[in-house]
Amino acid sequence: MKLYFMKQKAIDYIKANIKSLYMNYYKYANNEWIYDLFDYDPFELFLEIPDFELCPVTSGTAGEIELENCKILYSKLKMISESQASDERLWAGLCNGAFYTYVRARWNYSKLVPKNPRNDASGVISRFFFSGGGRSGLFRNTLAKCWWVGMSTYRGGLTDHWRLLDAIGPEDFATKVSDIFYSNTFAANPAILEGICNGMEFFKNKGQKLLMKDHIRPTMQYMNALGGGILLDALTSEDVTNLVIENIGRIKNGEQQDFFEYSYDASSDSEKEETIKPDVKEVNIDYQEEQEQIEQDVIEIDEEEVLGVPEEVERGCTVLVHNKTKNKDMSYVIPGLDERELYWIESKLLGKKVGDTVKVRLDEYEVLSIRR
Amino acid sequence: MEIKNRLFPYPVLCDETDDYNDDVLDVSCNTEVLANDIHGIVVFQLDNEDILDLIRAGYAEYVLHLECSSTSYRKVIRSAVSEIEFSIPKSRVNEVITVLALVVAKQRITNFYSDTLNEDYEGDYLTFEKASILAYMNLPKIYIFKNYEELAGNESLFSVIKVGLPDDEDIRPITFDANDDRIKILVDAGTYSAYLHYQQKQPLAMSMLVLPALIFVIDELRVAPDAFSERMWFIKMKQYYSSQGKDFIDDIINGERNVAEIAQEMLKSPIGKAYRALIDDEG
Repeated sequence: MKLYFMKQKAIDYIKANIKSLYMNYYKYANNEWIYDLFDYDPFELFLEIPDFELCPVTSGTAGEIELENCKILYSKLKMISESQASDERLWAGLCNGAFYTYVRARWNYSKLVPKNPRNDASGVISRFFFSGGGRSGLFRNTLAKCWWVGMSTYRGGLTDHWRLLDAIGPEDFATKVSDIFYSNTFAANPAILEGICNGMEFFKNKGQKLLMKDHIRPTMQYMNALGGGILLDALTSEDVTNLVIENIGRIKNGEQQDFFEYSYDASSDSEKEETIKPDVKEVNIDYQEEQEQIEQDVIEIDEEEVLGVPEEVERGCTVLVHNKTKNKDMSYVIPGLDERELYWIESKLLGKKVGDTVKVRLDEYEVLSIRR
Repeated sequence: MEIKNRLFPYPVLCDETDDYNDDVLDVSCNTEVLANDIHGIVVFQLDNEDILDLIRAGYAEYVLHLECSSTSYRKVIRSAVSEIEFSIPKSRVNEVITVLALVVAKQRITNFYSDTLNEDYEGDYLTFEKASILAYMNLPKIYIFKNYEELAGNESLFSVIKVGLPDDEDIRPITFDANDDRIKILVDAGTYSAYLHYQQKQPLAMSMLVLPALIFVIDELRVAPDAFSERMWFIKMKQYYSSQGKDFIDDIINGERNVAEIAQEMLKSPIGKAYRALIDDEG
């Protein structure tokens, strides 16, 4: 089997013109149309390996298929370095090349009815390419996700190389991947990840089901909050296992205190990735899964009941604004009085309230939220 | 991982707070990018005797935290001595590696006190839980950019991309997108054809496409200097000016010249060169 990567200029062209091209993923069963777009070969040979097949898309639930593909893809592509595997060109090449038919089948494109051009085009980008910036592509792209989860959970030298992955389990798999691997960079530490998986396995072995939204997500949030006060990496995997078991135990016993998740600070050292929520409406079970995965990317800013939410932008607060001209959200940490001079936009934002707009040069910004 | 704008529920020795009066944690880091590895040596200089006593007694330790979020690489190196040597395989990382030096509690510590603590803590004996951060310093990031396949030798910070399908004849304004490792210049099919036709006349391409792109980018940076700090084009520009003893943001972007002057200077005055090139061709 020959594996090709997609050339950067081909990727740039398709993504820049996705509004005109996304329907081709629905219409065409093979990828000949991609070659027809260019007067050069958009792919270049990367590697030749023995043939292999991914898990048949009719063999189980979406989670079961993806979990199995984590094992298959990483096992067959273990020779790829992490540096190579972080490159969009590789996965765009696989998703639009050798596995084009598979990825289409995985998301049921032959039967899907397009409904919303913006959402549908966005879905194509996130599944066949990288989207969202940063490391989001690693855990959203259909195939990259499987390789990276496989890489993170594989343990060589053991009889059961996939014990940690099996502890995670196929239920709500996409959401678990997003919450455990994507949203929290501490999971990149092997000891911490092992502790999390061991904690989940503890309950699995006792026959107790763990729910994503009720148990696992709050526990990840708890660990993220804990990481604000201590260095999680200084804990052993046993320490982390105990933390996970204790926290889930508290939840199950109804003892978990309310936990506020509030972050969207581009300049802070928060372990959470910053993402922007698209308007996604589920079409079928696969879209439902995708929607859950995307919805949790929303960084919700809750009421800060302890100190109160500032009514207007002031020194020392964090402001989330929407750039109406460029249609993107941005965050500014307004420095305190004893800190550096204000940037121009920061000085314009002072005194503004939620819903106010400011104009800076040619761009118009609307204040979305203010927090301390 | 970087620690910025974080409030701790206990005193921490660092540049961002005055929890300790006059005490300093200073850490030097020398790195070398070799053929297959990134090698480095970090030396801690801590001048708080009470925290040093904790380290000597085995209650605390020096920790070096290395992270490359784009490749999920995350490693901590722990040491009882103040010098830590590290080596990162280049195959494990890409783009940006953050380096964080810390002093961390190895176990729960009770009855800690230091004379140099801020007066807010006067008379208080403190307890640190296991893994508490007693001191830290963010070190300069390490940047690694790889080129594979067709990009080998192509160091351009800009890419010209055609917007529109092959038979599209619509005329569109040129737009720019700086939210990627290269600054994208998005042009219609007609402009793209002309760009290909005149591709060898670099001053022309510079003045008609790259100059407005730079003006756009400088404008953006003046509003939000940190918005593109992780992008390859920004890092490359920053490194270029750093090698000339200048700070890219303070000296260039926020300098006294206007945006158009800055952009032309960065491209070494392309407009005049373009005209001269056209005149030479006609001659």
